[in-house]
Amino acid sequence: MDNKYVAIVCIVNLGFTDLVMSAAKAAGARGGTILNARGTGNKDIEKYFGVTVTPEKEIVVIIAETEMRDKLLLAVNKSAGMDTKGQGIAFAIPVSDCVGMTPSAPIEQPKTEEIPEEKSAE
Amino acid sequence: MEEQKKPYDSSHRIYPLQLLMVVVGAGQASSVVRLLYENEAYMCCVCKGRGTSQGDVYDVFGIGDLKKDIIFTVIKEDRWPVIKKALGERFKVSFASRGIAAISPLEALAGVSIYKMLGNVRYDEAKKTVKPKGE
Repeated sequence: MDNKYVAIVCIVNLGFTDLVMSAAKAAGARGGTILNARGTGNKDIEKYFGVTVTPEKEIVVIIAETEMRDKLLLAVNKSAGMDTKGQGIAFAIPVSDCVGMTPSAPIEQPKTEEIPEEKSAE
Repeated sequence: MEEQKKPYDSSHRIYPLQLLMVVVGAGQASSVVRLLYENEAYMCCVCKGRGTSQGDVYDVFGIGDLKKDIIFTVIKEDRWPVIKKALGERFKVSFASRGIAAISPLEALAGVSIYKMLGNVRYDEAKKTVKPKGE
């Protein structure tokens, strides 16, 4: 099934959404929405210290064209992925239809300059 | 010997369900929720969030982050054209009422009862399937 749009969802630690959005914007995204959330994964921290540690998270949702999906996921993963302090998980959800999106300019393909063949001196 | 129940889809038409996400400006959620309830949505989950800035200039002045209301709901697929039209008209009203909505298909549900609840299957339709005792 070919969908025109996808929703890129990125779950990151609190305070890393700017990093995600700057990377996404550099990759061609126009905007996003941020939701506050909390993680439930690491229970050991709570036990060890004896205090309640709330692993605060933020969820970034970006709706973008399908052709930009891989580029956006790579950019987000590079800037705030699991290897970084942001510890982000990024994935894409298919979007069947969408309303309210402003049409974007066509994605520019990188121009390849034709290099004239050097004539070998005979 | 107990009578074996027939599968629900053998006697009923199944409508595919879609997860609908609507992002609107803060304070606009109630009117969108009303619109969704009018179009057979069973429940709406409203979350507070924020949008990202349109540009660096806004960030400099500290007005980059915009408060948003995010509404999650489940709708029947056949209701989407109506909802899409209504939301599209609403988003055009003014700058403050602008927003975005997207639907994503649901892959699976945990049982018929959940389908009936999320799909807002009418009580009278459900009653037809249940035979009164003694018949």
